[in-house]
Amino acid sequence: MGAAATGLSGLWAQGRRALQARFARRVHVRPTAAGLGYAVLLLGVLLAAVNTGNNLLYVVLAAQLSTLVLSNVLAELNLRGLEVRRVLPPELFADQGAVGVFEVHNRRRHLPAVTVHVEERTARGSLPGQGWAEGLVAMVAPGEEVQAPVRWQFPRRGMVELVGVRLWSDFPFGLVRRWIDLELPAQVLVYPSPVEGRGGRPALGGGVTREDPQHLGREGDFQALRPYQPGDPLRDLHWPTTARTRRPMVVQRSAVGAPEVRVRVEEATGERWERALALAAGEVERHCRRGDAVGLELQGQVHAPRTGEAWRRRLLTLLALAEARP
Amino acid sequence: MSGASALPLSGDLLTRAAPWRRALTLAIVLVGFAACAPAGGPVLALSTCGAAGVVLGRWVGRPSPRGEARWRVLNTSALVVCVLAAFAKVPLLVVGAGLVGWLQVHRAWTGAQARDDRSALLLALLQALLGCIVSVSMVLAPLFLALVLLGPLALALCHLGIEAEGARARRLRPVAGERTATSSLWVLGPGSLLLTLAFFVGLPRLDAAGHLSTDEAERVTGFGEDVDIGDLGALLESDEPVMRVRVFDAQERPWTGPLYLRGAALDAFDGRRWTSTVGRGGRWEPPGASPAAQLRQEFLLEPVAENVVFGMQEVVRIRGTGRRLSRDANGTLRYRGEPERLQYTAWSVLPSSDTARLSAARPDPRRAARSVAEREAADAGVWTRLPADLDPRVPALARQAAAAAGPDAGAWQQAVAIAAFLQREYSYSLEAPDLPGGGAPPDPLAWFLFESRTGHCEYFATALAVMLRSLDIPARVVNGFLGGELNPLGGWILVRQRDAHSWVEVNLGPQGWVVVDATPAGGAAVTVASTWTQAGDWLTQRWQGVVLEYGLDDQLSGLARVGQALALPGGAGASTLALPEVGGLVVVGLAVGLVAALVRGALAWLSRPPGPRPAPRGPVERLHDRAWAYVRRRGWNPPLALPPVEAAVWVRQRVGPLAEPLVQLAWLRYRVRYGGDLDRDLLAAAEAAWQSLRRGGLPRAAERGRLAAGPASGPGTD
Repeated sequence: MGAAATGLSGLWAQGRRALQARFARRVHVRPTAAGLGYAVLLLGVLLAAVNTGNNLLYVVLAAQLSTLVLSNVLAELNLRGLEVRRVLPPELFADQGAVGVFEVHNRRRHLPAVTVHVEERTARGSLPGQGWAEGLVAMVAPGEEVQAPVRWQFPRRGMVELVGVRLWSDFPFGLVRRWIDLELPAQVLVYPSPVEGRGGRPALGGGVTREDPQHLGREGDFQALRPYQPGDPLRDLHWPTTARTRRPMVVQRSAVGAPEVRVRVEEATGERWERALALAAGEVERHCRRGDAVGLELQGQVHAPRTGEAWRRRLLTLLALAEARP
Repeated sequence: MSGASALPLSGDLLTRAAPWRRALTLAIVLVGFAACAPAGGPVLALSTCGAAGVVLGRWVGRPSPRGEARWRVLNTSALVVCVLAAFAKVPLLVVGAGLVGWLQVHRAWTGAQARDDRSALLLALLQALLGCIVSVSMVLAPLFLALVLLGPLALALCHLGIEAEGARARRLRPVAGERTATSSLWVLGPGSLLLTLAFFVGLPRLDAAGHLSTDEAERVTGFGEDVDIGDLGALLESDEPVMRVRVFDAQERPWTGPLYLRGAALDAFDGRRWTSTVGRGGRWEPPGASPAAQLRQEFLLEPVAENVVFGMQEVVRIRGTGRRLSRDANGTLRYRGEPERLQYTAWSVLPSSDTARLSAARPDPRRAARSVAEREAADAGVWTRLPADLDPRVPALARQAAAAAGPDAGAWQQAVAIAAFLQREYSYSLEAPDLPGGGAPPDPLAWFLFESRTGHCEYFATALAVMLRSLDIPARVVNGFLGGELNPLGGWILVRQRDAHSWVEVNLGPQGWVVVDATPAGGAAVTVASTWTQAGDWLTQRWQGVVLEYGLDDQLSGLARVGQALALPGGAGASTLALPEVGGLVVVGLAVGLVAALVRGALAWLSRPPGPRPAPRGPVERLHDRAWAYVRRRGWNPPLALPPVEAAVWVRQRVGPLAEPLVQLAWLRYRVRYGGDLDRDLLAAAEAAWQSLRRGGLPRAAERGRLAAGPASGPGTD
């Protein structure tokens, strides 16, 4: 008896989990414009068939209904059994797009997933096609995984909460749009949009306390490898690593007596504050690319100049999270 | 992530899909035009022009901004023409067919995108709808099949094209996996076909209209109750099917005798025209007791111009028309309502063929009367009336022809003699006996008898009937059909319009009305149709029986059969179609729902994610399972969360060394599962441990109550 009870309770728990898993991933549906037109036509044929008793109209009605049923069933199945992973770009700057990927894995055994859109959800309740970033997977065979390139772009700097992703598709006929919301919470730090100062001179809100045009950072000892950034000289490319990683990588060397630069962010409010941060981010980027030791003066805090990729990110993080003082 | 891949779609899947999409769309658009074509007349002409325009447009048409302006003017003109045509009382269906055809042509010339192809598909669906309304031709069957099989695939390819165009516009880069599974799209057609069949069968026929609406043009014309002499001539040149009939004798053997299918009998002749003057008659109540010698006839009757029920003489019982029947004094059976396609079974009794009895019988319409109306007609002498301006040569000719039967001949013998005279002296021809200078003769009968001496069955029947009446023998002309083509494939006789025939019924008192046919033999026998004709006719009949005539009765009888097969309570009662209609609809709805749920379940099962597969269980694992089953039977139940070795140790803590083999077995299981291949020594060790455990005799948990207070929990308490 005990074993039977144990088996039953196990079965119940399993069934409950299956139900929860099923209804947690509810597939939403909404007719498209073409679908609405089709529905109106179907209604007209239905009325005509019933009123005339013409069996040929019933044939057309049956064909239309079968198309509608196929459309709904296949559209729902098209979204079931898909798993999505978000691979964000390593750095995100406000107002600048950066390409990452959505990895879509079709865990079904038999049916491929066709024309599935993957997009970053902005908030609960928004409609498909209104997300931040969107990728399109044309076809994933059963058991296969693809990476859909997606361009993320956020309007403002700071910490952004990502709610999840939405999978949607009009497959197979474009008559109904079905979507499924997946919870995929994440936090992403958006750096200020780097703005280049005019001619390298101190610009509004940002300042450089000392400038040294010598680019000694290319001549010192090997320090690190980093991804290529626009403006890097081509001769700094490290070709073996570039070939291995399939992305351009440049060599960073410790400058012998690297020039020190201090970027000062002037106090301001509102848009001027954002502008100052953007200019500062631009200066940090520019000097770090040159291999300078960059320091930062931000809201009374002084950060001594240092070099390296980690330090650059640290400075950009400070700029991204800086709140304007009232 | 090592297995992840991303291929640009534009160079792979879509480039292959686009030509398919264009070809399929063109095919379906042509199907749409073809669906309208059976309507004939202006619709056929418009459809042909439209199809040619679409093909040409697909071939040479290129969208351009300058062309758009020109097309705008053309579209406006087309719309104006359509409106004017509608005001000019051109049938709306013709106007609609023209407008939709024009839109298709416009799409073909100016649209090059997937969205245009999708619009073209929807327009083709509209054309198919128009085709359904204007025609019930069997040509529609393959067109519908093509539409159902190819339409969903074409729509899916359009969807792919629209996605690709949208991605291009939004600068998305669609990706696809290394394996493309486009073959899965091909199942759309068969899936759609199956679902369409299910819906067609399951959709409840509410029968709001009461019956199938059929155009006047579809009815057999020329067959009627007021017939000018010569009307049948046009009918006799037509191959249009009129009915299909199976005839069996009293022993249920196929009937091999002459097949006179009686339609309308006419009593009054004015010199040019035969009419019925006895009224429509009252409601027909078939005789209660049917004679034993009956011919059973199964009819599938096409709509004819008059709502006449056909049958061999004399119909005594009819089942299956579903209509109220009436019978006039001439013995013509009619149903109420508009002419429509009918399927029914009739039982008939033929008059005696005993020549002696027929020869002895004297004409007496009152004795043959079966109703008050017939007696009144007999009293009024409607079957012996002659035209007022009858040519005096006709009675003389009648007397001359009847003289061949002898001076004491009876009515039957005289009738046979006159018929033989006509067959001998006159020739059969479908050509109307016109005057040499053209135009119709003023007295067709006299022209036939004394001038042309040639004509078709109507002339012969008229001549015989009038000549008999001139001898005071009651006679009437019957219009119907004689013979047909036997179709062994379907097992029926196909009767066409060209089998239309006229003959005479002579009254012989108690023997009733007897058929006398004066037309020279030729084309009256049942022939065997050619193989192609058989196949075509069989398909046509299937189309009509299975598609056009499928209705609520078929649904209810099908459900009743299902109920009987499943031996549901009340299933036997349902076989008589006693199910209330609403209940029947509910059952049909449930059946459709069940089919949909089954389809949905099957598709969900197909798309289920692969779950963890259980590891194969080898001999050591099976021994381990048996050992644990034994331990549990003895009442020792370690907590479920414990892994196998810890669970065995748990038992050993309570039982002592007797449970040591269980621990050994658990370790051996680990070793096999994670340590590599199984060898013979290991299996022997496991077998020995299991035997040792069993021989050791594990004590029952209840007997060792003192052990219950163990460190984890007592037996059976987890």
